[in-house]
Amino acid sequence: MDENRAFKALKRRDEQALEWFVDHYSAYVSTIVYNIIGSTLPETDVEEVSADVFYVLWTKSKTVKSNKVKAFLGAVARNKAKDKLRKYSDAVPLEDDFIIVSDECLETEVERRFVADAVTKAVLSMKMPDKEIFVRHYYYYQPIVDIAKAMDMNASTVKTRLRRGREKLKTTLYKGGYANENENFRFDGLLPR
Amino acid sequence: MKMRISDLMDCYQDDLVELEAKNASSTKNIKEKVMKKTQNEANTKGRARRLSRTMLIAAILIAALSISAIAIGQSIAAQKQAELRNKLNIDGKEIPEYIEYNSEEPDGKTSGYGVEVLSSMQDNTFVWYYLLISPISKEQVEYTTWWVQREGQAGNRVADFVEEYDEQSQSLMIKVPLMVNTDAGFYENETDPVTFYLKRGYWTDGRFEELDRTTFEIIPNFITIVSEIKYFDLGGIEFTNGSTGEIGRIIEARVTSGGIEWVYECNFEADDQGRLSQSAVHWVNALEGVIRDAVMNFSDGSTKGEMIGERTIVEGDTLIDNALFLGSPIDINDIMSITIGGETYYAR
Repeated sequence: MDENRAFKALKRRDEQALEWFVDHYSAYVSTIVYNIIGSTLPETDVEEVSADVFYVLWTKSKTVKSNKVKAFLGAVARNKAKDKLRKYSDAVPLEDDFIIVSDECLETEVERRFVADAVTKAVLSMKMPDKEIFVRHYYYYQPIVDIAKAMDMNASTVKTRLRRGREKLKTTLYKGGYANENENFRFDGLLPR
Repeated sequence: MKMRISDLMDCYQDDLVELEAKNASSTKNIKEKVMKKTQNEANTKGRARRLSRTMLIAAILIAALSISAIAIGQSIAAQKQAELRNKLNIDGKEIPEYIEYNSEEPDGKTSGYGVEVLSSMQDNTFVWYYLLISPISKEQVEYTTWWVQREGQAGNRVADFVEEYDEQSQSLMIKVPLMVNTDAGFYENETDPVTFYLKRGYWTDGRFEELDRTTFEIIPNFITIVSEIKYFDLGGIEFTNGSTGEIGRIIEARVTSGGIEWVYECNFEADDQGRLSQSAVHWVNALEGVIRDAVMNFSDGSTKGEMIGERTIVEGDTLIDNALFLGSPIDINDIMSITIGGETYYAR
């Protein structure tokens, strides 16, 4: 069974198809979950959260686009693991994880979305390998030593490139007015008629 | 405010990185836990079906006496979904952004009428939900307006009518635009069912006077549907601000199955709250003057006009997206070109 067939079968509520996805993506999902909660919670919790992720795929398969299953599983794994961790601790250990964002840019969900869009655009505009390093660390919560090993670099190079990514992100946010209180952030939802 | 970069990445989706498995949990254990969850789900449904004989007879009697309102509701919903597909001219077409839902029974009924989500259609920012309200009398529908509000939030969205009131089925179909990441919609990465109020009322003295309300649930699916976009370079078509005489340029059109966005540049002004100034309204009017006669050309030779947007979004200082829900979903593969002012532009 290939992924395309498995996905069609999954939409028909075929349990074998679900097993196929667990077989092929459990390492990916559990690695993300482990990166987020592994140092705080036991292995059984990692397995439980990972199982929850696949159960979400099972219940929501009709709304997932066929070529986006991996991205869907990644996003759900990240959210589920962070939710789980929040019950025990607020801290996800990452280096230099903070950035100052203007309070007035985060007052409404619309404004938060614009900030999130700006972040996404900033990440997408990064050049490789900086982009991959940034995504590995801040999206997948991968430790620097693991990134260095996976990308065949030394840890200080990874740190340097991460710092460069953070600077780019800050610059983008400042330019967009999201990280400076003196800048205006504006939105108009409806055209006056 | 101090924010974690990792939290700022919550809306990002990645399928680029090949993540190496490290400390990966046992696939066997995960599989067992998942299958147990699916079995529990099946058992729960099964238990509901396994009624004792006594209970069964009672259930039959109750069902007979209540004339199986649910079954009637389902048949009306299925019939309305078919009518809607026909009305939107999408029968037999595969449009990922258009999703139909099968509810087991209508939500709500706190006001005597129930609400069923028939289907949804999304463009880049909006998700339009088609709702069926029934049973509801003609008197309840006349002179009323329908609003949708997320439980616990302040923002409201006004519904449009999709069709005339259907006296035979005592039902009304309405369409509600929910904007993602606003108080009246839902938020990215949200996956659990969200409760909304459907409020019936009327306008008086410039405000909405509520008569009654009921609740219904929507399972957000916005983030899981990534619309394919066709981009049309328009080469900077010029338009002139009737107030200042300044020139603006239309850079690009972005078309999805659900809508179109015109991307243009001009020296507009917005106030501190982001509302467009009078001068900015002149810009929008000037733009609309240019695109008023624009048409989309389809592979079967047909065309579609009326592509003026319903809203304007301000981004930074120079870019305005003027977006429109096309009304009827279109097959993105059928769009060949856009003609504006006698010039035809093809997708890049």
